[in-house]
Amino acid sequence: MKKTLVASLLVFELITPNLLIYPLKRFSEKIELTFAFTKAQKDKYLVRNFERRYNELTFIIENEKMGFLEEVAGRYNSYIGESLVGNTNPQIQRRAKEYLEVLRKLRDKYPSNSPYWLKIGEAVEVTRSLL
Amino acid sequence: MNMKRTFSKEIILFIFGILLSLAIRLFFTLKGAALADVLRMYEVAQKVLSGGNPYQTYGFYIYPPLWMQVEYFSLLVSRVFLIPFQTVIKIWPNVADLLIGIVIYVFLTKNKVKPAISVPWSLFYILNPVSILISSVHGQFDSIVSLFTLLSIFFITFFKTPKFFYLSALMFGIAIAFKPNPVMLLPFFLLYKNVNFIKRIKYLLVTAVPITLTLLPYVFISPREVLTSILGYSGAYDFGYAAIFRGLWYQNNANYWFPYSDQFLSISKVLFLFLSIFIYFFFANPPAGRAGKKVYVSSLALYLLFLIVYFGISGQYYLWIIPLAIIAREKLVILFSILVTFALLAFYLFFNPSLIISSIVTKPFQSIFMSVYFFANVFLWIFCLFWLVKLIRNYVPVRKVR
Repeated sequence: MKKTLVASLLVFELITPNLLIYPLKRFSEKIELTFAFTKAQKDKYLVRNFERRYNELTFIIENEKMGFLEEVAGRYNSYIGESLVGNTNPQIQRRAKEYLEVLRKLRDKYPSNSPYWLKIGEAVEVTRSLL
Repeated sequence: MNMKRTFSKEIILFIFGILLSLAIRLFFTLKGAALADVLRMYEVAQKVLSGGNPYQTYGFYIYPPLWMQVEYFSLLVSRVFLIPFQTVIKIWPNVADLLIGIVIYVFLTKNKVKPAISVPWSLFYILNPVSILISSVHGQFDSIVSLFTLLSIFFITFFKTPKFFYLSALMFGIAIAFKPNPVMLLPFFLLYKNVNFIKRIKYLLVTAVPITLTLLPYVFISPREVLTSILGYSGAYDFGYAAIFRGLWYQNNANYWFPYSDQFLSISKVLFLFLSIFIYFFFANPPAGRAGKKVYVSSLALYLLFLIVYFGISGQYYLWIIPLAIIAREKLVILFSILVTFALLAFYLFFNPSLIISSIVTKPFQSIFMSVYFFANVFLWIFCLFWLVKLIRNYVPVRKVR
């Protein structure tokens, strides 16, 4: 499958989930959280990590590394819940709406009800339901 | 009086260590499920029980026939005493582990090592997570092979009479009758003593007795199937640099089957054969004033070479190293054990977490465990190489400084 126009809207992470050093990135995030003492710091951390999980998910789909899709989509769903539930920050709400549109487009690259369509669809549904 | 008190203190420590090891091993043995290799052992035992020949299906049973009889006996015990097969089959390698601990203690004591040092070394094996993981969790029986190899080394090292020389050959033969891997050490045993050619041939013949006797009935029935099953098996591509390639390949699309494994395996066979000849010659004639000719050091070096060069490495092969390294009092075995433990745990957690504890809820095929597995294998491979170089350096002649 060739890269779509959606690709131009995407930002990829330097360390992506397919890399063997990825757990180090997660570990550094945990350290970051440990040192986020104020509410503002924690909010910033949540927004940044939500972005990271979204960027990772789109990287996996765009680069067709679908062997990682289940794991990465699951992580995105978990982080979006953590970031959006009870969070009224307009910045994160606006970003989630943008992500929803892109994820819909990425999902529709695959035949309806195919395994990949369903898996990306889960991410779409979780995002939509939390907005 | 004082020495006696110290000695009894060591004995108490030794007994405590054995009991602790038993408790840990019992826990994992009872919590295990009939999965992976243990499941295959159960299937083989059933085949034997129903009068079938396990060698007739290619790849179904890959070891010499002696272990098959143990599997069959274990199934009978399991049915008579109503104990799960996966528990019974793990009894034998665990008993072998405990006996190895005792042999290590006796070996070191005979080598004039004080009990205060030989007991901790012995406990290091008995409580070693690698031996616990392989025997109690994985259910592999390499400790049985190691026990008989160790006994063979013990008899050839400490006893001068011909009776013990041939007893060593018999022990070595029994080890081979369980699993053929000690065959690669045979040249060291044949070249170790300064005996005449006839005695070396006799040693070889006695070594061949157990495998010949147990193999004969099957060779008569289906010679081709037996030979292809035993000799055709080249190991799994789970550890060593195969694991490193697997990890690198995994990054592509979460695929953990490295596509060029067969080619690498073929090359590694030739390379190992070539390099092992160097090890045979190098360790057979050590220069005076250096480490001296020790069959267990030479064997350790060859096994390390095998782990470094050969592509078809399974997790249980790492267990071969530990008893040899302990009797050689190689302290590097401590770091080695830590690295192997990480590699094994990550491997089980990635492929089959239920293997560790049957009720474990962790999902298999999680990328985080692939990362740990990869890095543990990278460090382990480099470490094995470093260790082998160190062993070889100990044997290099000392240059006299003018």
